[in-house]
Amino acid sequence: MNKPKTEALRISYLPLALASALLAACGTSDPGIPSNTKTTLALLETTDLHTNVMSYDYFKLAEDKSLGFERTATLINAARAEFPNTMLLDNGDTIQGTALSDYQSLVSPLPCNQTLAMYKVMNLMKFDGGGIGNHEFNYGLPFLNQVTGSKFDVDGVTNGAAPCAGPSFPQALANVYSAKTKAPLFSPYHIITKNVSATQPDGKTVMTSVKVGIIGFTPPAIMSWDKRWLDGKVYTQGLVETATKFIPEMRSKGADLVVVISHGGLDNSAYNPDMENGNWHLSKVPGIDAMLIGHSHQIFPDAASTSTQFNLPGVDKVKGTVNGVPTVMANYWGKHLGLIKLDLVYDGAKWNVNSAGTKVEARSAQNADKTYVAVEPSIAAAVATEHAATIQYVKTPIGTTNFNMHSYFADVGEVSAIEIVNQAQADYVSTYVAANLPQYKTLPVLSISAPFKSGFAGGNDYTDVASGNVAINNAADLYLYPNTVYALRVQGSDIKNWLETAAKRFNKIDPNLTTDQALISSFPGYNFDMFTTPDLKYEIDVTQAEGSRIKNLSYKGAAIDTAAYFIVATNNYRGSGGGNFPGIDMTKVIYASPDANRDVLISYIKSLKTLTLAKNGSDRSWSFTKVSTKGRVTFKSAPNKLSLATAAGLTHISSLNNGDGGTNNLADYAIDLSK
Amino acid sequence: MQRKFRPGKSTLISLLALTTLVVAGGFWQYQTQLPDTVQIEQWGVLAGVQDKEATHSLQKAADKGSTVAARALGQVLVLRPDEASVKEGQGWLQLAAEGGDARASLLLGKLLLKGAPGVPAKALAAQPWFEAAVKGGQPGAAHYLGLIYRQDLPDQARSPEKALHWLEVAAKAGFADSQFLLGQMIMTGDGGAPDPERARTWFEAAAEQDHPEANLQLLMAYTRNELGLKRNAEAEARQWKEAQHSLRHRPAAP
Repeated sequence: MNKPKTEALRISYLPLALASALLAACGTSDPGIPSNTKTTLALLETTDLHTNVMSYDYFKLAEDKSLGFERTATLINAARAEFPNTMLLDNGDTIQGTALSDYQSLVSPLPCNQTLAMYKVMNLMKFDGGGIGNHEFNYGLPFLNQVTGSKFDVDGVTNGAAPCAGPSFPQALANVYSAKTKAPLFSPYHIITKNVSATQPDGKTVMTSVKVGIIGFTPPAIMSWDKRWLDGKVYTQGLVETATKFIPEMRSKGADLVVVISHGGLDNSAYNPDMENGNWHLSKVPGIDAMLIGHSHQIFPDAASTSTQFNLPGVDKVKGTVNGVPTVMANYWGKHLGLIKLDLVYDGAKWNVNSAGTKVEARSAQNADKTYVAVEPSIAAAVATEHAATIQYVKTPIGTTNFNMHSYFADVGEVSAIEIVNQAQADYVSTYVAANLPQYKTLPVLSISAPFKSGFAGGNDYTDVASGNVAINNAADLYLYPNTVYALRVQGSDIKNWLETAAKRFNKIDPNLTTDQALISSFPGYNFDMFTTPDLKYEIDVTQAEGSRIKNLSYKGAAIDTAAYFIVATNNYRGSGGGNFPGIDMTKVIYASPDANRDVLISYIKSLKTLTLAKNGSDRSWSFTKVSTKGRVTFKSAPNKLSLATAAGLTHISSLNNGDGGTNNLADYAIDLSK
Repeated sequence: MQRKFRPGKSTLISLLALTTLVVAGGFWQYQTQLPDTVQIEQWGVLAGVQDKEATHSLQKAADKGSTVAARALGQVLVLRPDEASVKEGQGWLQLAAEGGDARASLLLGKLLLKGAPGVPAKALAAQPWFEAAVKGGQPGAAHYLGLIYRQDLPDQARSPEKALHWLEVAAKAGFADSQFLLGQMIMTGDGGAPDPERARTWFEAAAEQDHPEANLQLLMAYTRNELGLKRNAEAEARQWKEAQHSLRHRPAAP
């Protein structure tokens, strides 16, 4: 009998393919222990961390204890104290998702010799391996190549002599290939020799090793999600074919265990190689000992789960198995730690799983009493500089404005918070069409947007950016929702219908009523789309029924040609049919951009540097059709804002009161529609 | 550190196995072991990245009368930027569709509905292909029938009732875009009385598949006490981040 092995071969992440090759070349090493030696190995999973290193919300510039790897790290420490042998593995969607990741990729790109904050803390916590999620591709292949310390052989990526700094653990991805070389982009799998303590049949504790094969998968749909980065450069293969090819190979190279790290969820509809969540089918490929899954931002196992994917045939949401394979999904943003405990028995040749001892759970960073586990203090210390720089970035002025940009009177035609959004969208779309869509370059580009903050939740629910510096967090006030820019090709008749729907914002006003009439209906402000350009003019006649209110719609001084084509810049919500505007749907979309309206706005303000009322806040496309009413027409806004309406030239507005001082903090105003 | 070698395992063979894995040859070798359809689909993937060999293989199979290859080739060609490729692709799709390939009918319908270089968008020309695709077992085509009936066309009046019917067929088959649009119609009372609770169940089904606009709709519903939801800071914060996150990976269009 040989002496128990006391040291495992530690694979350095760099020449991974080579290291795997050498291991493979050597065949399975004999751990030199007797049959029936037993050990326990706990696989720990993080997934969808999305660069939530700190328990912090960069939008609100405030602590958020409900998320963050600094708390997951505490769960990891606890699991390591509980189990003698653990392997810490990450499922991907790791390097994108917060202002911190944007800062390190786009704002102040990371130098080659430095490690991303997220990978830095993962190195600190000694991860054993990781997969690659779809979001890893969001910043493009050159960035991914750099920060993972890879050497991709694909078009558009240039490599230095040595790889850049990156994770100190191996990353596996088996189903994405270089179009140039037809070779996998990352090492498809790694066989990691893991040191473990084990118990011999005689009760003696020995140090030995288990060969754990990890193989990674990402959703093939990355090809459409990150088309702009990936098209023509890489291609994907289906999960099942890829696993069928590699798993026997891993076994033949001595893997005692095969652990799948697959970024995706479960879907039992007919298998196809493009499917986004292929793990239900993947689990049926022979030879898989455990699956770490993710992507869906959900918890598995969870006896109470109502999620469709965890209530499929073959899925045991109590035990945590998929077609018999132990499987875990650890939620997202570091809220949970996944755990699969495997009891292993050595049969004299290899380690086998004793499935009676398998236990799967997803452990929450939130305690039963709703408090959260404490942070692991070394995490914050390791990224203090990056964290502070990100906060500074969010507060940095991007330009200045000589006027107060607000939405207090947007319902009655004031545009100081709307025009800049429309200008930014139009500029972005015009530039794109000129460069990429020559067939549409002669079409006029218009832009439409709505006052998202229009008082629904009270007097504080309005956009209000003071004159002076404009910072990134002000851009969130000017563009509230997480949307992306869409460009639609529509006809004059579609524009008319679009505006008719938007004009549902108003109640029908009876000019002969002597009592007060409220102008604003329950139609949401976020659907009150408006143009703000001197080129397009229209009136809204609130005395007419819905559908017949848009009057004198003109383009460049002449009645609009209902058959003429226009490009309208808007957002993904409207372009996908949100608000149910008739005829407006994906078939009209000529460009579904990947860029957020808010980011487009930020870039535009940066390019202008100085915003002025004359150029960026006073062009109105619409007004009410004039009508004398016998009674008052009233609406609500925040109290004490009349001077802002007057300053904007809306002299037909009057203040009726300064509100009741109640919780909603709204006051009544009147509009004289005859002026 | 001393490492033991397992007897009977040849170092040389293992190294060779790795070499074939790394070079393209391993890939092709693997492919020949796959059943036909899978092989054709894989050629389609490679033809999509302009691989000449794969395109040629597809072409050969299509020429020999393989409907699946005709569809796969057509699917690749109609996405190319030049009119000639699009036209050729349209021909292959039509051949496959007429040969009974329902997926080809769906793809041909999409080409005609949306238009492409050299192919003008014509909803009514697309409609019969979508109808054939639905009949042939492609419920995703019902989504597009829903879109067509939701529009007011010069030769076909808008029919919210028919749009609701077809969108529901696609929504029940699990298509998130259809679930979202169906929810929009139900929420706003298009073709019936508004039913906020029923609309919400469709938005939730779509949101569960990471549909960005459905997530946004639920966010707005929380902030405005709509669809039977109530203001709730925690849910709003979660929904806000979900709406933002899902923008980067919307579920595939039908």
